[in-house]
Amino acid sequence: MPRPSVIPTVKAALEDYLERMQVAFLAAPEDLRVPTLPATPDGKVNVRALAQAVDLKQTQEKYLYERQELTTLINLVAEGQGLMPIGSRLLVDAADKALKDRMARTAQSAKASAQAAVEAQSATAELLEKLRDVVLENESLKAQNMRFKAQLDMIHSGMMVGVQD
Amino acid sequence: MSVLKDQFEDTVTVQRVVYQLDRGCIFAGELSDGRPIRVKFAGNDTHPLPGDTFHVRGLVDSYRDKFGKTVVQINSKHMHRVVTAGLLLKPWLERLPNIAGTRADRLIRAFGHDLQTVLNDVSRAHDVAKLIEPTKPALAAKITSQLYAAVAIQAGADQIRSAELEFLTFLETLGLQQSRIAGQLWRFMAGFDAVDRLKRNPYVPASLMDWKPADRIGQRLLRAAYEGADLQTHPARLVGALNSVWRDILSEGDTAATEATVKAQLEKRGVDPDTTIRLAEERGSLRRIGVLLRAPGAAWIEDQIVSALLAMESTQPTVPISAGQGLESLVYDAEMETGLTLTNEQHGAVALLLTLPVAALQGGAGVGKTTVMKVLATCWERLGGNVVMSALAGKAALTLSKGASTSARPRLAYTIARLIGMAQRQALQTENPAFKRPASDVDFTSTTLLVVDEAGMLDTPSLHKLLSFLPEGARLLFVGDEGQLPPVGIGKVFHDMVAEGSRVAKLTQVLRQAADSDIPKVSALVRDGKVPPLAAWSGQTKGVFVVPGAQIESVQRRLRGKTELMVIAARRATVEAINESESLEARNKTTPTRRLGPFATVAVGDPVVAAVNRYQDGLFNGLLGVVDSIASPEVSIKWDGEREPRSLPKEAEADIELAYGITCHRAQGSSSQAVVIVVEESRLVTREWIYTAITRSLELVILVADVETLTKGIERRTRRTTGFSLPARSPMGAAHIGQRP
Repeated sequence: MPRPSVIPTVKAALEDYLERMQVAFLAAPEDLRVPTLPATPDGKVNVRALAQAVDLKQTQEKYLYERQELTTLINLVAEGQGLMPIGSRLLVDAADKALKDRMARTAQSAKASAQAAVEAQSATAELLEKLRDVVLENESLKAQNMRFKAQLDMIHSGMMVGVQD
Repeated sequence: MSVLKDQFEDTVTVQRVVYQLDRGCIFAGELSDGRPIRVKFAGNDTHPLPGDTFHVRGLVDSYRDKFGKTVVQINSKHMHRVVTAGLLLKPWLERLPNIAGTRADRLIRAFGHDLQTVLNDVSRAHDVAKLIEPTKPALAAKITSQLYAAVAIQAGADQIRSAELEFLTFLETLGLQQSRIAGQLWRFMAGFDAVDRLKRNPYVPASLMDWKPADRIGQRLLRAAYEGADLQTHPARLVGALNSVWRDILSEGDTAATEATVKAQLEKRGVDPDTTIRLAEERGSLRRIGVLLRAPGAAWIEDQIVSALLAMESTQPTVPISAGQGLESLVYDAEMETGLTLTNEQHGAVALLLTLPVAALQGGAGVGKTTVMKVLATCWERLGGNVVMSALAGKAALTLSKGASTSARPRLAYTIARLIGMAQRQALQTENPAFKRPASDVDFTSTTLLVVDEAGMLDTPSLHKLLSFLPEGARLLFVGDEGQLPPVGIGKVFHDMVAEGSRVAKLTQVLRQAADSDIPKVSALVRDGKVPPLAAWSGQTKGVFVVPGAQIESVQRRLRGKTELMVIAARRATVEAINESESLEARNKTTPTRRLGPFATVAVGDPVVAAVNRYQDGLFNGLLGVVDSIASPEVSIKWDGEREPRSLPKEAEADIELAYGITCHRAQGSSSQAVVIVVEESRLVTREWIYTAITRSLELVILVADVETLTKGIERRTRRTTGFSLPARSPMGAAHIGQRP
């Protein structure tokens, strides 16, 4: 029988730890908040220290890099605290990052109190509305791009097909 | 699932994508009740991912997997992406980071069909967060934000899919059933307002499909938009008819036509030719050259190529070429270095070509073109330049690599498509130095001499693409044979340059095969339009012979397995028939076979050909090989020019075809000891076709033909009309060239 995977255990420990760190982060006054996750001097989340904090063996540390379900979880909290995520490839592009930062800032403003939660919710709603607009604009531009490319491909096959917009 | 006889129509959620091709895919999926199903889809622009849902229409079939298990397979040509809703969201949710598994289940259990509504309503975020992780509210809030953002993004993508669905449905109401054309039309009209855009451009379909159905669609759209207008003479219809004419002309490879030809075609389409031409002229969309009218897109490409070539010629030389005695000595030294002794004609050609920034080397079979390229490359390298060698087909590149290399100086030749890829990557790296390219990529520099072998096969768009990436200062030499078939694609730049003549070195003296073979003599006669006197074949191993059509099978049986054999036919149907009958003949009932794709079921020993370029797998269109083993999970093939057989990647299997018989275009880059040519009564069989086929052989040619068909074939010409016109180059003191020092 195959050995049971250690990942679910690691994930559970990690979630508990991240929850504690996020609560501690939100508990501080907004203008005094500093990352509660361990960080490297250049502002990235410190995976080694994090592994130690959740009592991982040194040989298990690699899971935090390699297993997507663990990496995305850490990054979700790390980015909210203003830390660079694991693996810079995850930053798709500057626009995505800006959007994520804004969402992170909104999340940061959430207070434990009910009033703060309502405020945070309306801020998220507004942000989501903007996101929807941006997504539609993006889809529209992608379609335009597709139309131009179709015309260009046609020219390369010898035809010129004019399409009035 | 609604099953009417063997019709299928239902919603399928993708579990695993088995094959993804440009024009179709195969995937394993699940019906809404959880039953597994396999879908084979033929159509463009559909790239399913696990979790996507499609509405599939098609015929019920079955598929036997490699373990012998039979599963239901739907063969579909109509498949639309379904906007995910309610419970169908589950596979999508499971793909999201931090949601997978238990959390997705919790959401589905709690909200069921309302899930989509909930995930679009941010006031419910609190409820969602509680379900996601009841004991960790801070983490749950973060995951919930991420989920809501993903839903918003998905909703945007769904809207455009809905627009596509609406557009395709609209096309169906117009009577357009072909999914390939519908997919192409979507690319032209894509957007939330695609239907309106099509109404504004009712005759765009005429550029993509046959005139009759396109005209029907155009008239219906026009009638709806302009009630009471004269549809027959509407400008949109006239422009559509002209585009339809260009489409037909381009499909023959021509890029221009006489005005009379265009007018006759317009008349066939039921529009007034004079009014149409006048309208195109008024709109500035008609291009002329001499007595010819030019297809507008092709004209643009051709003119771009002319500009690029002229720019090459006007660039200050980056590698200094001395004239007179210095040039002669250079060629002589290169001959010494390579150990080759050139004929006067070859020596003169090398010296002339060195002085031309853009040049063509023309020569028929066996005149020593490769020898000239080898000495020329040596000269160029001695002057400090670098040489990049290329050919269109994979096997031609391999042959050129062997022919132009010495043990001291190996020279790799690449296929044109591969070079374009390399040049593109180099351009990307110039723009963005952080971009990494493979170490095996060649560098194009201002001192590069690019040699394109078999240039007669290079179509105009490919040349345009290649030129657009060459750095300033680079030079270009085309090498080819104008007697051969023109490219499969449009245009014929090499043939046009040779016809113009001011940048051409010609080799006429046949050196190869001459001593003991009739092939050069016979091919030269064919090239000149004469029917060669041929004896009937009775088992000889060298020479050119004829056998009657009835012996097509017996000839192959006598030769196959005893010598390297290539069988060439013109019609696709004939090639397929040869492949079927010869592969059956080679097997018995117990021979193990393996299905590679729709085009080939193979057994060990079968000849095969790669049908597309797959550079990542080292396969080139036209590369021939023999199946070595089918026992392991991957088929193993010994490719021409390689020492060891190698495994064929799974995803390349569908691009392999049997090669008991091949078309002449696919054979163009290759050669074989014996060649059997099926000379059919077909407009494809022309003087150039027969000449190309004969010159594929190294020793034995057998024409399966009767005299009448052969005579007609040799009389028939491959004619191609183009608007390419490179101005003559002014002579630059080349009078001294052509004599040994």
